[in-house]
Amino acid sequence: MSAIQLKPDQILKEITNFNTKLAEGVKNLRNVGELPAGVTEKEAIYTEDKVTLYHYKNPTGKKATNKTPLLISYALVNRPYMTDLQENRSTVRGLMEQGLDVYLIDWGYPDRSDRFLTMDDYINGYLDRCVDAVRDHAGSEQVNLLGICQGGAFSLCYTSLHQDKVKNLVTMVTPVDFHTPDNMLGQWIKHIDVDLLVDSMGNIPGDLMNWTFLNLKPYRLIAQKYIDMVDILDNPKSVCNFMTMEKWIFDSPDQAGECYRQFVKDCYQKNKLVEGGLDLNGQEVDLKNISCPVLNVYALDDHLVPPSASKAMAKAVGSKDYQEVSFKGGHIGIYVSGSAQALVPPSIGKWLNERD
Amino acid sequence: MAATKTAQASETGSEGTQQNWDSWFKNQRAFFDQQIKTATEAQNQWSGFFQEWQKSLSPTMPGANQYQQFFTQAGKQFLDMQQQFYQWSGQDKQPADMTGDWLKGLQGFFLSMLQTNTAPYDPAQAWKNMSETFLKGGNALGSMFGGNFTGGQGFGSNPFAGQGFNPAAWTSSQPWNVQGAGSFQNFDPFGFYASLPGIGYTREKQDAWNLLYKLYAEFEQQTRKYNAAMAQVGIEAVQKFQDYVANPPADAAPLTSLKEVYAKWVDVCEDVYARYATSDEYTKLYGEVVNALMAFKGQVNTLVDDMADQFNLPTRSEVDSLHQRLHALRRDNIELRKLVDEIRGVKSPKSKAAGAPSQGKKQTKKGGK
Repeated sequence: MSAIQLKPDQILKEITNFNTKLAEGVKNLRNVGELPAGVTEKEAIYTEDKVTLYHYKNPTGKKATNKTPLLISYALVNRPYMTDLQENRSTVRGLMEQGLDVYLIDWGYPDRSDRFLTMDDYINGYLDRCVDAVRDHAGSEQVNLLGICQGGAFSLCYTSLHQDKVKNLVTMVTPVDFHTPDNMLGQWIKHIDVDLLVDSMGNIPGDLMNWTFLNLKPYRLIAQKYIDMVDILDNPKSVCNFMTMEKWIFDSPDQAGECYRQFVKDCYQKNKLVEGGLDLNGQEVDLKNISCPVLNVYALDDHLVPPSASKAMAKAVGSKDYQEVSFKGGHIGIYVSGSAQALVPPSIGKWLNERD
Repeated sequence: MAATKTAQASETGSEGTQQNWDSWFKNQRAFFDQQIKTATEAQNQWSGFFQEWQKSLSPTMPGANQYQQFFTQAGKQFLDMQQQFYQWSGQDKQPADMTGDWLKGLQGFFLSMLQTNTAPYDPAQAWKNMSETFLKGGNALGSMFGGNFTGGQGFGSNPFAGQGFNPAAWTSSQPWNVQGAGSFQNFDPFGFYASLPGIGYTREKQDAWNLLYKLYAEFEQQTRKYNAAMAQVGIEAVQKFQDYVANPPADAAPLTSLKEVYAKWVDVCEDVYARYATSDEYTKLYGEVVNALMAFKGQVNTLVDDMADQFNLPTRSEVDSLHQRLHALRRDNIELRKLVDEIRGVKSPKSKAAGAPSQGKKQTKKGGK
């Protein structure tokens, strides 16, 4: 028997529904208006070049119960407001509800004047000075550091070199072993001449990064996603939610050339976080130096950072207090889905509060 | 006799049923026709909007046009599929036949893509593509280059300008007879001349432009290989989908809507693509096409710098050099401040390292987005 069992009248009905939604959808799309880039009130407490360090204000007015400030270090790829996308989809708010005092680094939009910023400039420079700024602001000797994706890799490097300033380390969807067979980006980068790429491009355009990410699942992300969008086009609220995500996905800063060069060559191509030998201005990054408690949060259906790439952290770090939280979802869903909101911030909050 | 009567009655009954069905279907069709008619305008608008939107998602990547179309086609497929199934539903076609026809159309598309990208390479077209696609680009700088490429109306950097080298001439059917080069059909005049070393006063510039052509031709050929591989992925996906339709797994739910058919088609495509995209063959191909593009872009940069210099403008390499020195100075400054703090007995570096933090600085994206 054929797998396809279509009836003519159903075909006609489906097409009619589709077209009706399209017609209504164009109207709803036009009415979307300005989309938010983060919803929770925050104060800039430190800026340097294009980097801004924010301190979030708890909308409930409640004071943090955890004594150690939590600093979120996001990736250089995409924008950090993913953690605070909408009122009901905000990891930041979820963390504050757990009694945490939340700070976040916004790396800004590098331009060609930032092309020679290195990994060392980001990790031992900006990140270190933001950690110091948080310590000053909160009056705390140490911070809890939460690194996301590439920001997680940076946080691992930072903690290995500045263990004294980090009380607890949390990583979310963070790659450590870049050579696992299911890591599609890791496979693709194998034969790329990264020096030629950076020398020719200067900074790596955000558009180019997006195009690469879309091509991980091209049929789904370039085509089917927008066909499926039609289903929600007659619902203004759903359209707004969709477009908020769409804005975030394509709001992609360019990557500072030198930092990109080292990150891709040392991490993706040479796998130095696992193999060793990652050098930041003469200091070797050794994840075995990480002795503080580590919580590794990963997504089971992550197509950008497969669980295997993240779970390698267990053997790489020197900590004796290492725990994992897995989430049934993808690289983005871990911040925005309803189930993630119910699981992830409470798990992180509980884990940090137990170690305060 | 009785049996004949029964058969006649049965036939009459069948005819009646068929007439009822036809009549019902005609009415339904008229109803839906009216609804679809009102919605068609919106769909047409949407199709254009959808495609324009998709185009805006992708970077202006040289040579990526066909590749982009390949995937954009995947979205358009659903709209086409709707239209085709709608038309076929009025032609008493069985779903299996409709699906077969739809898949045939897809297969035709991928075969055509494969054919285009495996056809003999046309170096004259490569030259035309380079001058039109890359360098004329519709902007001022592009026009400057375009002038250079099309007959020496630029400012003299092009070694071919004024030396009788007119690329347009090579696209004519003039029967060139260059010893050892074979017939014109197999002769690559650009490659032939581009491989000659430059001579005379403009020797280095000739070499620079020759290299540009060679790198572009290399990129274009790598892109063709890549597109051909993507076409093969499409052909394999069609085959897999056909197999699925004919012999679905016992526990598979039937596909009862166009949306479900399309979703299954996407699943199959992603599955075939994912397996290929993690293969050694693909990763090598991907590396080759990216490296070829970057080599070409690097050479464009060299020529742009050369031209900027002629206009007494700062070049990218000069600006880069300044930025490098600036960053080096800042790093030194940070280290010195730390040292001063230590000498002064400041307890911890805390927040003020490279400069005093400022507040309320507005973030802008790429020049103000």
